[in-house]
Amino acid sequence: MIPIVVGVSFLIFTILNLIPGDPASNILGIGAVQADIDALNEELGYNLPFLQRYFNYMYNAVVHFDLGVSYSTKKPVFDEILGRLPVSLKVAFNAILFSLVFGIPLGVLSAVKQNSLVDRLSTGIALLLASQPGFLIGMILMLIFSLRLRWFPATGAATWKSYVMPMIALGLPYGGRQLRFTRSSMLETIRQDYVRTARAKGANEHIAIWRHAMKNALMPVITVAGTSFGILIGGAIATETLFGLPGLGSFIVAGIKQKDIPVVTGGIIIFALIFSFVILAVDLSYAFIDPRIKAKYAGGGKR
Amino acid sequence: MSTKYDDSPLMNLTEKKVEVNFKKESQIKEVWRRLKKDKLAMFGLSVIVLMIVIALCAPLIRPYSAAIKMNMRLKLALPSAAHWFGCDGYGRDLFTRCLYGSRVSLTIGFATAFATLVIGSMLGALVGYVGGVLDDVVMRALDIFSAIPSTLFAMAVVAAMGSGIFNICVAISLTNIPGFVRIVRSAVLGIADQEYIEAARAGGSPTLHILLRHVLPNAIGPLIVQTTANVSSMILSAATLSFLGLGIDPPQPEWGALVSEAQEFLRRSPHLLIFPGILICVASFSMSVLGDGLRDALDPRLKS
Repeated sequence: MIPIVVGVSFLIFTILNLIPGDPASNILGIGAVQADIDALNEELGYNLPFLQRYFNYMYNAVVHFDLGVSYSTKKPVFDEILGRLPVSLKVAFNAILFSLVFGIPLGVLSAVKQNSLVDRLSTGIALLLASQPGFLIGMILMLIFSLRLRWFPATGAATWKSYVMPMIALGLPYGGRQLRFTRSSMLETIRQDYVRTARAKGANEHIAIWRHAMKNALMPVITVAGTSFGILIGGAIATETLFGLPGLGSFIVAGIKQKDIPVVTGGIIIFALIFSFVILAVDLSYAFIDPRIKAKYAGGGKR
Repeated sequence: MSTKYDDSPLMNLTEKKVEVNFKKESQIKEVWRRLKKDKLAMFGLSVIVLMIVIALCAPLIRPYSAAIKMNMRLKLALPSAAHWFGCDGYGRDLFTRCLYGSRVSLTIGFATAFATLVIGSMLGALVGYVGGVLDDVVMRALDIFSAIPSTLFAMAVVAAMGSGIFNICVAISLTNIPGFVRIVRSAVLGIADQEYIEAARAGGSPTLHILLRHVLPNAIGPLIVQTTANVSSMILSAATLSFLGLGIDPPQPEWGALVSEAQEFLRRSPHLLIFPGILICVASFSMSVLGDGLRDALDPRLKS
């Protein structure tokens, strides 16, 4: 995990280094005197060799939690990110919860009643939801529920009401994905011998499906939920921007537009850190879901 | 009349060739036959072909100047016989803008999927087949790429290189190559220790020849399916980039940019959102169902 975050930071540092223009001209604006620009560049350490700048940046980041100062707001990037992180986490967490609540049960239902009307309808809608960019649903929701019906505010993060539409806009496409994976995983599991055995033993259909099949079908679903977390973050960026939520995504978008390099570098590193944590959590959760995996590692085996 | 020793290798060669050709054609026909039965996939295929044809013929339908000519008297005009999709905030004909936007969006979708296919399958086949240190190094490097949310990564690349269709294509391809390499690699790993590969190696074929002639053709199924799905997701990626203001430069139209422009007039003129929005959905949906259909047609065992 640590090598990944170091790699991400180096990659992003390198890419953003290619942005034309020096930091001082960006900070001071167009009318600045050349002498001032040179002095500020010197002060920021911009004239140092590339690798040395990278090591300085990483040293400050790791030792002092200092990700530099934003060019546009002149505030420390780390503090800005800390302030915005709760908003982003709230949006992402709500959306995941919402997607699981309708994605998994509907996925199981369409697998159990394969080729029925329910199945066709829900898989069709799921596919449709997955084939639209996240911001489109958001705009339609905004049009209907805030501009026409005025139930929810269109922008801002003042009350809990502000989080309802982002949750749905982000959760619907993600839930469609869950639905499709749950369905195909369930279809595979339902045909396994142990499910047939459970039925043959006389277990009623509910127990056969929910206890025997569902538990085993959940593994790939969780894997996909974890790995497509990156897609969710991508959607969250557009959603935050659309609904004017002061989250990490909209912060980075603004940073990229203003060529505010410390903001973008810091923001993306934090995102990569969160993403790595999620993947780690998914790996760890396997042990809780599947005792076989726990047994394998409890025996002192290496990863 | 030649001797037995002269003509026997030749004979063998022609025989082999005939057999290979016959087999190949029959498999494509077989897949096509199965695909034709899938109504949804055929719907997707026809819609996407229709869209491509319309995009190619755009100059015959409306001149490009109509897409960028402003006319303030027609500002936010509703759909009518003269302006099928209405007009935007600058009085530009929305139908023409969608028409020329489709050229940009579809080009980005197909070009990036193709670039990902070529680079991803070469890299994936190489690391899967060679293995060892090369495999470790490349896969760890790709882990780094995939730890960055793809939208953000594409945005950073566009910010560094500047906007424009080519740069967007590079940015979106870069974000999708790691996933593709993984798919190809896992397909190749299953093929690499098959006996026919061993036979080719024993026969002295160079590695590149084995990869192109034996390994990749046998992994073609998942590659095609993934590429089709990629076109769908890359149309969406391009739209998201444009929506965030990092796409192509105005006034050139692009579907995502058209949706983004609609934001300003959302309350008064929802038609500005609806038409380009539907186009994005339909294009992406068609490629998705075509991909699903191809997956079932290429490997009927998966269809339950």
